[in-house]
Amino acid sequence: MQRSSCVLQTKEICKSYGPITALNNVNLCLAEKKIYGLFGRNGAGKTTLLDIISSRIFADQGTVTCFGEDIVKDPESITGNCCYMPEKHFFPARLKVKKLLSIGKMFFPNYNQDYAERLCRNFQLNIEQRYEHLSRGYQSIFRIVLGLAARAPITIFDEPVLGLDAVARDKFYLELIEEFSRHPRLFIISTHLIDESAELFNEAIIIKNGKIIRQASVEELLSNTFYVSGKSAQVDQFLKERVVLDCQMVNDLKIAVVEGDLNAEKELPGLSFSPLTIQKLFIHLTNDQTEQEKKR
Amino acid sequence: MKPEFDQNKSIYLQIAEGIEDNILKKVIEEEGQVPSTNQLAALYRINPATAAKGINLLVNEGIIYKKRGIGMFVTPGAVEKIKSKRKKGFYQKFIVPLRDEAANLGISEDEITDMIKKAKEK
Repeated sequence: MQRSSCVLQTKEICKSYGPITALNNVNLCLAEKKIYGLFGRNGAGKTTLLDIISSRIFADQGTVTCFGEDIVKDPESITGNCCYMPEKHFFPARLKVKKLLSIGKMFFPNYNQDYAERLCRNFQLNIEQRYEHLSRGYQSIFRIVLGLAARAPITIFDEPVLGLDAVARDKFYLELIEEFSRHPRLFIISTHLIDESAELFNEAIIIKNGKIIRQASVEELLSNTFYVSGKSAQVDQFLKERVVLDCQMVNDLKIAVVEGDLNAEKELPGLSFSPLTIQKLFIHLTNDQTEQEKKR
Repeated sequence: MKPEFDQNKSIYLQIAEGIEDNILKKVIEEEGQVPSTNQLAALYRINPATAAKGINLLVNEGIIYKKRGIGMFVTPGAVEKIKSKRKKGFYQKFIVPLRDEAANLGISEDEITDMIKKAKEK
């Protein structure tokens, strides 16, 4: 990866909360005009990472640079360019949506009022309502509206679709793609709904126990892993000297998840090969249970 | 173009194949306009880079071409090009799985030939 193409870069970021290590030596390079998906299990360090790169909290060690400037030495480099919509709300809850949006305008120089109003209509967000009276889903929608309409060069959403129904999620995905086509910029979006969102992203970043374990396009991630199934003796023969991520047995039938290029495999009698979905891959990569299976 | 994607295949390939299907079935005529990268990305909720990858595949094969500032169009002769390309893939895509499933079920070659004849009559 070219260093010069990084708009946002972290170098050896570490963060602990007492005895708990939240982030462990995180190195990331995020390019301009790309949408990144951040995937990780609960407690993997997603929010801590987003809090640090948006300068809400500080890392114990390591540096974050934004457009080449250290964000601790030059906080303006991040605050002037970034719109972060954290999962936990940080808005004065008693204010009306309308008022909150007009305050948002003051923080984000590229904020577009017409677009914000259009989004409110599209998502049927009542701008006369107080924030505290919004349902969980509508609070998420409010964050989506503000985050998109802010048109900041770096836009970060922590779990934007939390509490949203399927229709609203689909609307968000469509708005995101249309907005990205109109005004390409850097988006970072964390989510647990991997399968339905994966194709939105240029790259997926997978974080596990405070470490980045993968950063690649979904296409690339999927091309490096596949299922092999068949009679256990034959599957075992095939698995020799291969990296096995997971194995399941049903009587004499064995299904294994293997690292390698599916297209490079020749047909073998008695064995079936097939690709994984991104969500299954995520499960196999981040489930500690499967790690133990591997050791057996 | 299909309304939804297949799980087992790269999205960009399905984008390219979907456009080819439309050209073969004359849903989009030769010299007709092909949906843009951004239209495809919005329609399928996919990253524009993925849609562009599918479109570029067809541009490189000469099936569609770019008119600067206007959009993408079907190249004259594209139908023939798609047909000859797909004929080459016909064996791998249809005959091999047919052979495998017929072997699983114990269907003989004669029975398969009969079935093909019957399907033609319908």
